[in-house]
Amino acid sequence: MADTPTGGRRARENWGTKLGVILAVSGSAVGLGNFLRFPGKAAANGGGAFLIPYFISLLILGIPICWAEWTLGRQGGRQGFNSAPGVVFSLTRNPVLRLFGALAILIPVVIYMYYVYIEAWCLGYAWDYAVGNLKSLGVQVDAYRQYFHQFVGADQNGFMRTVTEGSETKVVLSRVVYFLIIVFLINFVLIYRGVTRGIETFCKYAMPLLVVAALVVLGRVLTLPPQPVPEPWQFAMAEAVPEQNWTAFVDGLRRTDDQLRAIEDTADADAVARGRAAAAESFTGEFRNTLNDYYKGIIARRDGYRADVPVAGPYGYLASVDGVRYALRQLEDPQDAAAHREWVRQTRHTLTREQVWDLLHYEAIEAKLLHTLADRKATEAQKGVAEAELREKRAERIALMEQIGLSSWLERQRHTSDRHLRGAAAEVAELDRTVTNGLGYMWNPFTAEGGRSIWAALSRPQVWLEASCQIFFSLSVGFGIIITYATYLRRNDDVVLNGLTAASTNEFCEVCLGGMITIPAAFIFLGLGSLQGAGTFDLGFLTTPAVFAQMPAGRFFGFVWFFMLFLAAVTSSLSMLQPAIAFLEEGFNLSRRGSVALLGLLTANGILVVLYFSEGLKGLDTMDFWAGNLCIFVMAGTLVILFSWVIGAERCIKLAGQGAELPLPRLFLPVIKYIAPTYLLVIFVFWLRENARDYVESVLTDSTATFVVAFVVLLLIFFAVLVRLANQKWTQEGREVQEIDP
Amino acid sequence: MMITSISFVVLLAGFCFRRVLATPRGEKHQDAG
Repeated sequence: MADTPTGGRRARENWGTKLGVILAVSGSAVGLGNFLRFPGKAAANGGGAFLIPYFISLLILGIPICWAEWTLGRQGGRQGFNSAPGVVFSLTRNPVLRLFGALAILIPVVIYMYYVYIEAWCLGYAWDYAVGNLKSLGVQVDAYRQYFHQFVGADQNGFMRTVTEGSETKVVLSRVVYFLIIVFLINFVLIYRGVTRGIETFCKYAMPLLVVAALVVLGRVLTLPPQPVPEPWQFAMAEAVPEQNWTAFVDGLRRTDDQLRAIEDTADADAVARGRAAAAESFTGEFRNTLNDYYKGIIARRDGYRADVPVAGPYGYLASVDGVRYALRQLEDPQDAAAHREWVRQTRHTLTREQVWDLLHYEAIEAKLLHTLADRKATEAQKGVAEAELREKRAERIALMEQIGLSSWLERQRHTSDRHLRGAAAEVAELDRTVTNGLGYMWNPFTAEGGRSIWAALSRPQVWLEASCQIFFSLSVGFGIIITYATYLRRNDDVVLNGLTAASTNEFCEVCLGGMITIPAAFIFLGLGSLQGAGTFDLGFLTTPAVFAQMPAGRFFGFVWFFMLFLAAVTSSLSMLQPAIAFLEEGFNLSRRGSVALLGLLTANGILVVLYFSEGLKGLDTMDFWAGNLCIFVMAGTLVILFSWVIGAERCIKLAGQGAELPLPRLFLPVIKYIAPTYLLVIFVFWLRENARDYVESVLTDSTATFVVAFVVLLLIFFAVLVRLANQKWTQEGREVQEIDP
Repeated sequence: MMITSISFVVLLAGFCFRRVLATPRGEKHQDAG
């Protein structure tokens, strides 16, 4: 913004070009959510069926609220205001509503505090790919999990990390801090340059570059050759066993198998039983330890996942030596393996969900094996032995599951969501790992039963809730950003077309790029198991690095991918600073340098809070819930009420129509006046019901959450006081608007 | 579903950008102050 005071107030700044404002607004909306959150949510909530509520929400919630924000922002800009509190001041005389302007400052500032931290991860990963730091991690997702936790400090609170170099142990500053300082400076340098020279110029280059980078990665993913499907037993074991022990482990399995077979060839049932017990015992120790680690890994990951997100189970039959033996046979007998796959596919469609889960994972293979055994021997005595053995093995398995806490966990999961079962069934009925199957997994409608009915998927309220929330958060409505950016429009710039174009750009990045890259790529290289329960960060920082490790020229594509995510994050974080900068400038006549310095100090403190409380990413998560989700719903609701009921929807529609190339659809009036507020309220209530309890409990019981929430509340009070002072100042200056006249 | 969704988004974005690039910019904003 130009620092040339004119009569006590600075000269106003406008967007340089129409394309510039569209790229700036869409740059603000396009972020990690488009590339990581959207595909994860869509794949877990009905696949292609997710897109139906998604587009309905876009049409009746996302775009109407966008238009409302653009119109209100431009109207405030016409009155000479450039901040959301200023815009609200100019639109209503209600002192309570005016105070809500503080939310439009609080939300972007608090989100910036943790968003810049995530931005630092993206830059850090891009750097690591550029210099080859990730090369040694191999192809195991768990290796990347460990690396990620260490990098972001998710294993312990504090700024320092303990590192071991040879025999020496040192305490050093966390590596993410250096990247954080860099991205912090980049943001403030750009914001200091102003709306046109900073934000607009950067977005004009960054947005096309981002799209090109995403297209490069997309091109690579869509041309990937089919990858071999590992044998079923390798899914679980390949993850469970450290790579260096793999060969020894397989040899051990083979030796055990040979021993068991040799014993089976004798006709003496007692000898068979004794021999099997002895052979099994010799191997069980190592085997159980390995599986225990695997199961414990899953259970340990449970806390990192939300309750509604599925976690893939391993092949249950591997919990018994017989199961492993069966798996080993499969490896040696392709026909048997093919028959097994076919059998799995058949059972998936003919049994109930519970039966599928039980049979596929724990009962069927044992039962099939023992039945075969008994049938071959063809004597009642041996059948009796087989039955006894089956009972014994069941008890053994249950004891093992109880011992590691898996049984009760599975029981809970079974009742939590159908999607777990989809994951389990799909994992067993592994498809060929081709691009088309990967895209099919992401886009084909599915139901938990394995059917393909869109209507069944749409009958689940969860699908609607997730789709609506995705649209809501993706378009950045209610953040206070669009309204701020719109104040820099010229008097008769087109808000209808610009708003629609910015929203459609965001949708392009989300649906056409985000929906086509991560899930198919992870499917091809890692299989369905890797996608079950993968949250936004898991998909971005654990799964995709493991994918790039297996991809030809993976280091190059890994760099392009994380650099693209970094650009997407910067264009978003920049927009989070502008509302507060504009407010400090026009509310208190601060110079740009002064407002940047003040905001820099404030946000630096918030970033330190997020950085310090990094254990389990608790600080980030708490801020995200209270400011990044809850406050956004409140702010969006306030804007809709202001637009539709305080100023009046009819009057606002006339305002929106000024300079509009496209007329607003007639349906817009009932939608923005009745449907959008009701829809928003319904989503909000359901969303609260789903999420609020855990977070409220956390504030009451967890000191970290209490501290972070107190910090956010203090900031809210601070901004509310500032808004009140600014309102008084503007009133004294006679800037109240008597009548909004379209 | 994929083809329908992508077609919808691409057509919408294409239509919008075509109109944006084809129409002139609004008049210069007057500062209310």
